[in-house]
Amino acid sequence: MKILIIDDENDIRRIARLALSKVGKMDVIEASNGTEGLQKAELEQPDVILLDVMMPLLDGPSTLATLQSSNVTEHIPVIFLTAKAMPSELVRLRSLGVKGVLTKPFDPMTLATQIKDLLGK
Amino acid sequence: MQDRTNNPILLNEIARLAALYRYNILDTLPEVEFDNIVFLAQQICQTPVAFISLVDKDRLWIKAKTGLDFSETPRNIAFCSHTILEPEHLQVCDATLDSRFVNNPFVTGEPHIRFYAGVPLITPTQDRIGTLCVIDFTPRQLTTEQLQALHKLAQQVVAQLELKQHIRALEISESHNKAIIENMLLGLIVTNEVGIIESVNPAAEKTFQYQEKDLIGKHLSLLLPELAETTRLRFLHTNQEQNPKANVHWQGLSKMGDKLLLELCVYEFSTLEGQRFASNIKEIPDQQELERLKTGFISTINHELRTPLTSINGALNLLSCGIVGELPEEAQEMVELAERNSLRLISLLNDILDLQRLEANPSEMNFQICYLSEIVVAVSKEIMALAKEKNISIALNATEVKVFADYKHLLQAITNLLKNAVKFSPENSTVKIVIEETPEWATVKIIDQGCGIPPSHLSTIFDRFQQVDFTDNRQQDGAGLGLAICKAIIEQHNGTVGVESIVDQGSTFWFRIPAFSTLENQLGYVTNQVFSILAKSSKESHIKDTSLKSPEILLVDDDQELLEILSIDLSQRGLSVTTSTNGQEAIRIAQEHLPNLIVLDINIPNGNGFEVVEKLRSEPKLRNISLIIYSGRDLTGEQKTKLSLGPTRFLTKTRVSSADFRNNILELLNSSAS
Repeated sequence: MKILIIDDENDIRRIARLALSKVGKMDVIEASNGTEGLQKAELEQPDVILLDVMMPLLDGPSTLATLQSSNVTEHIPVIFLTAKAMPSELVRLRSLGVKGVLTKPFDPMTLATQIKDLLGK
Repeated sequence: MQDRTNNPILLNEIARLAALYRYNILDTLPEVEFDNIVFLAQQICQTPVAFISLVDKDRLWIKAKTGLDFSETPRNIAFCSHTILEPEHLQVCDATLDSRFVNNPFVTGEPHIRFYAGVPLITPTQDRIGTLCVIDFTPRQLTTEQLQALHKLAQQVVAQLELKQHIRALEISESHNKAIIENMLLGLIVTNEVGIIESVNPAAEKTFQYQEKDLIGKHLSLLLPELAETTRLRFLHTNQEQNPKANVHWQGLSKMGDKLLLELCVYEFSTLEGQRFASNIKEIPDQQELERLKTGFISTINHELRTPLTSINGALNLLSCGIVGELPEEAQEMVELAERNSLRLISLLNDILDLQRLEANPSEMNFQICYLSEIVVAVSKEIMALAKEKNISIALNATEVKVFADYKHLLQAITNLLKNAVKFSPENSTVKIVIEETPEWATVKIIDQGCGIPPSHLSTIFDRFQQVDFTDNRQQDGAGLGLAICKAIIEQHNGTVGVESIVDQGSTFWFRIPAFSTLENQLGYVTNQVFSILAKSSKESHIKDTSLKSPEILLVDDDQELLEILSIDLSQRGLSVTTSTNGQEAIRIAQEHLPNLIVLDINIPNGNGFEVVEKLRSEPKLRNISLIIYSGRDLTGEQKTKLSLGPTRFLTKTRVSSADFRNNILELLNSSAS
């Protein structure tokens, strides 16, 4: 499974990459901001995108909207990975048409399983 | 050089000068009061010249005069310098015959003084600061009556000086007070005995948005509707004297009609014109605004802390699980220690957020009928592993007690209590859970045989960041918010938490919440509005218990998590929610439950949204149920037509906020009920 991680935090990307590649045996592609994420999504056609919410310039929801509006990327399932923990925020994020919302801090040992569960795989 | 003989220096010269300067009279403009006295002196003594002089350090300065064309002379040639040394007065009938004055330039030259009579001006402090005197250019002598009159007039001069000094002191004090009152941050309103406003300071003007002129003469109730009567002002004053710390909040009303929350301190004082009340007023910032700022702050801090913690915890976790290679034994220990502590931090963050939400949004509670024993059993199962480690048995009585509570929160509260009990119990002991019910209260007691809590800590144990463990330094997880959260939860249920403890014998933590039976009678009020919608709806026959049943909504979506979130949100609004993740099941539930409203996603397994709509609308009893199509994408006009076979509304997931979603549901429920 090919996964694209879009997150502006280098450290978080690194940990998620380790967790997903070593534990989850996934192919991991990284993007450090929304714009780069859009390019990689188009180019690499990942099976799923793990998308941070709070990012400078193009934030998670805006990136999602752009992904959804392009016929090259609209079919790619997206999962938010957010440090926002207020339930009202989570409800809003879930209503945006994503496969799910995972919260930080995440458990690296089960991250891959959680993603697969959300995708129904 | 001063001549000792002719220019006497007073022994108490410094004090005398100080007394003179206190009057602030030197070099001032003429004043009618003093001019009048000089006129009277001249008239009474029948002299061409009369004046009031003040003896300064080196000069004689004349305050008021008649028949004289100068207003200052050097002190050493002045007759008056001698007068102030005299016990009563100085009278020189012919200066040419007086050795002290025969060579005086005023005698030898202009204006050729021959006669002089002067009376010292003696202050209440017995300082001789000047004279009232008369002069003639021919020798003469005053009668006794004239001299007496001159003495009386001299006293009048001092009386005038005193009066003016007092007025000046009052003016200074007045301007001081005015400056203080006008610049103080507190609002100040002075009213008379019957509450009519007499003065208002700028802070009060600002608070109430009125100008002082619009308030003077008006009744205080204009600003403080609750405080209309004077007796209340008096009561407040007395009350404040008795309880100076009493901090009472009052409602005020601004000119714009805004309600203000005020802290008020009233005091009564007497004036010559009667009793007066002064009200000190402080506006208390909008609590909601403060709460909003606090919530925002906590939420931001939480987010900012969570991000680095994610990296720390993730990295440690990967290390300790050996994903990036095996670690030497000691390194492994250290990494596990760090990981444990990063988990503590995360759990602290969660607790802070929990507590904040409980305090800020009581409306997030989702009340339903629950069985206490069911919750207790669920908690016990969860704690069992922890208990087994120490061979602690958990014993519970099996009373069936119903409560109207938020299941998840009550579960959290009991979990916190039971976890503590197990944590602080010695090995091989028993933790007892007792459920009791009285007509008014449902009580849960958690009794342990642990180390107990010293009496001095009992009163603060439910405060934030208080650790339960006082007897040893074992490292405990959690940060001492567990009991505070527990207390907040129970209080949201209108209940009470408490603890009884004996050191070395054990503690009993308990809480009680209103028994369901007492609530049952009041339930009609809880969600009255929603129930009234229901009462009007066409399906009354299906409602077994109208006093308890709320409008029912069926949510159909393949996203289980979204369903959970929406259910929680809607249940909190007093709605009864059923969910389904596929089309067939949705139709079956609709047939069985006859919901008031169905929310339907289009992309669902086992019969897509279009099929579900077709099926629903073909059944007479389901035909008129309100429907919200809640889809991920905008639908085409043609698709919408296919779906609109009954009362239907379309919402796109990405376009509506959760509040909009909710409002649409409530609106549709209202319209279907009316």
